[in-house]
Amino acid sequence: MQSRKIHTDWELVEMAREGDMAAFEEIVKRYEGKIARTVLGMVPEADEAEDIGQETFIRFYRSLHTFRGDSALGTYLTRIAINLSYNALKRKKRYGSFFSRWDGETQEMDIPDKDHDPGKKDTADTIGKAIQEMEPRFRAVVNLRLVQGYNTRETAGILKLPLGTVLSRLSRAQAQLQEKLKHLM
Amino acid sequence: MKTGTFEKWLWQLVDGTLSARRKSKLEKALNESTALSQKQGEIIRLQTLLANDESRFSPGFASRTMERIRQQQGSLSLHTEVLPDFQKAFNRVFITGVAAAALLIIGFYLTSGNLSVESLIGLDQFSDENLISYLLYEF
Repeated sequence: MQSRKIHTDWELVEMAREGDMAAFEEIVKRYEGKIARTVLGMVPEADEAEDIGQETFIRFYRSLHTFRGDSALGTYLTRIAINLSYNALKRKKRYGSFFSRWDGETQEMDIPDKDHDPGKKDTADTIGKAIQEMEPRFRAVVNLRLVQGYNTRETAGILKLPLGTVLSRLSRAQAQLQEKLKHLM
Repeated sequence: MKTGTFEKWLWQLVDGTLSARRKSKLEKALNESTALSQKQGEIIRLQTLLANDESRFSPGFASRTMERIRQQQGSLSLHTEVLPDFQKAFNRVFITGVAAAALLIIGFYLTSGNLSVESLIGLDQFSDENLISYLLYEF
């Protein structure tokens, strides 16, 4: 049986630069989960989040030749996704239609059924709701630091914020989440 | 040292990015303050709770993304392949035309010594008198 070679991110980028679409699709598959967690943590509507997720990879595809690999591919894509999410939130705010998925009119985000355990889904919903109720600036730090697992320095780098600002926002976000999620902790 | 500062440092302690000097100060403060060590426990619990997020896009996301890229690539190749070809052809004809016109003008200038409209249409040698006698000539 022929074994399938697992390529590194950089190898896939090089192959995609030479026009290998299958290599780029592999990148999409490899990072779609990470981008989903980033975008769905920022923009709750599933359709809009998917659109932002796709746009993240399209932007990366367009800038393939300029990607130098200074930061890890996942970090680079996360930065694009965060920026696009911020832009989407700003647009919504500007047009005065900042609806939440929790208002019952918009489509819910796609959270897996966690092995059909309704308790787990309820927990995920409660956590998601608590995060979505925060201001976008707090949402971003919570998403990157607590959901994605970036450390505080990496979070500051992705958001292009001073470390002190990230630490302040984390402390304030933690106090808010602590209050909302105390029954789960 | 303010409690707020220690609380900020707690985040760095948890993710292992706190400097050794600050770490020793914080550890001392943690030993002295129950509230601070309680805060540390809360951060760890919150981190554990939120780290289990398994949000996903709906199935087929990669295929839909690749489809969009292929569509955009099609319109991109129209700009990068078809239009430049047309542009190249236009440039070739335009440059040839301009060169031919320039040669003609230089030729006119060399033969007639000026670039008046009359010389261009071949009437520079005619005077009014010549024209009248030409018109009155009986063939």
